[in-house]
Amino acid sequence: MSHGFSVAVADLDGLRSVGQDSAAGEEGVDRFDVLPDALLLVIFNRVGDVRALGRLCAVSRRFRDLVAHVDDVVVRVDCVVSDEPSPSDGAGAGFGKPRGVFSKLTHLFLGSLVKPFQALGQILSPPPSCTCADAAYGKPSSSEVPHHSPSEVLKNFEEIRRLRIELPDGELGANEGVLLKWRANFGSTLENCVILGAASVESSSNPGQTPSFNGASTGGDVCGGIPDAFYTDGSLKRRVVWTISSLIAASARHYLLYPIAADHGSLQSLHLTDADGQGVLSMDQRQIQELRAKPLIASGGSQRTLLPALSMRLWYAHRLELPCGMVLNGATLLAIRPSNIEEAGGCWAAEAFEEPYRTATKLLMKTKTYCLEMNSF
Amino acid sequence: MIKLVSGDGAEFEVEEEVAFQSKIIKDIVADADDVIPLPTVSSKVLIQVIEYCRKHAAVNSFPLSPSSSAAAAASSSSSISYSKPVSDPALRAWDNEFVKLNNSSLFDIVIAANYLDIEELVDLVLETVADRIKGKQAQEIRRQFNIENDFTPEEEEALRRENSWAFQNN
Repeated sequence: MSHGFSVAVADLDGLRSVGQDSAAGEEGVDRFDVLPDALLLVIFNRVGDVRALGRLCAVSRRFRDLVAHVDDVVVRVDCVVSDEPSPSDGAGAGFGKPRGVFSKLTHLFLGSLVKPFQALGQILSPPPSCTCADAAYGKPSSSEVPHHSPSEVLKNFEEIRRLRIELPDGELGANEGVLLKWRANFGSTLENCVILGAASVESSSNPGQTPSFNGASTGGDVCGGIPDAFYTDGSLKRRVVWTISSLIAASARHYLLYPIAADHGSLQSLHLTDADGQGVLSMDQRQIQELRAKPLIASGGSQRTLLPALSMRLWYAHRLELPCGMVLNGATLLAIRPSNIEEAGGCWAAEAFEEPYRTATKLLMKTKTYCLEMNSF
Repeated sequence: MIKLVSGDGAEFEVEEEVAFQSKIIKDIVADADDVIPLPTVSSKVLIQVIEYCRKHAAVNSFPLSPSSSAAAAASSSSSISYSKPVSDPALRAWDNEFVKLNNSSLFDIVIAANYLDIEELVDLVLETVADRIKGKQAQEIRRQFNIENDFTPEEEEALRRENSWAFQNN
């Protein structure tokens, strides 16, 4: 065995120098000429970033022609411009008939969620003067600083199969220390959403231990139940705000995807993420086709998709210590589905996040479940 | 042992598990004697390809951390990133060293690897080339890879105007 190896090594030095000589003689040759189109296309797919692909178009005719066939594209949105006239317009129309706990929280919602509402009027970057329709179809604007919607940027890509759009930040300006992550699947409207939140995150003083719960600080259900103070000290309000904020962010993102889904019949998967890792909206091929087939219903006058009546299951742990040493205080998990869809077990929620949050999700789901209902909004 | 013969007549004896990193060779060996002529592959390139296959054959037959690669495969199924799962970190580091070559050498290798159907090597090289062109302007890419600009000035101007989003504030 070692014999074969030594032969190759002995040859190596001599042959490398020969190779370098011949390479030197070929200078001036277009090296990409030797690559078949199929391999060059793989390279372009790996590049992915839509800006880099746009520049590649300008390299040569061959590059330009091949870039149009790229099927894996990433769009990094670098600014979000709002043209929502007033946050209260959208919010007022947004809540049909809130009931129970949510009606009491409408005021809080309006007061504290201005940011997501404004930011999500228009995710893409048309100038504020531009109307919604212009933005969606990427018409050039008269503004001094040109903005370009993903629809406009993507119009030359006719064969996109996998598209990821990344926003510069998560929409929800969570307070310092708060952990908030959501993952939602949409067809023509919400199919499911999982939200994981924690009031604060710290590292354990003694990592490596088996995961532990503390359902309540004093007494309470050790299996992770909700202590009485939860309802009175603002903890519940915060969870409701997280939930509504996440759902609004998700439905506003979804609203923006409609023109893209409509324009790109080849799409098989669509992800709208943010650089903060806060929210992920996903659509697969069936869901994209459904969105294309059914007209989008906006929520009131606002630029987001109407959410159906929702059933939610909530899990809570006052303190959740993960095997990796991370500790989530006030850990809360919500699994949300439209009320009219039969529950097919909770396993879809368990896989929503990457580690270590996947473990957190699974641990929380072992605790006591609370059920909530929410009207369409 | 399998004997590979390069286009310029050099012979290389390699172990089966090294040669079988190439799916083509694996298929050929089933119904041929063990001398395999590779007329389109130069000895210079074949040496590099064998070096790669030897390393990967060794690691693949003694996986250093089977559990971590299984975990990577499991998480990739629901991951939204499109890059392939990260393999063994030591092998990954070795791969990164391996591709520190000039562009023309990389192209020669990827063409040979594509011909020999060594999927991982094709992936590795194409990923490397993609990284080299990602952040660059058209002019730099042309210079780096000796690509002729075959647009007329008018065409190029029109293209830049149409794709203006690609050329601002980078």
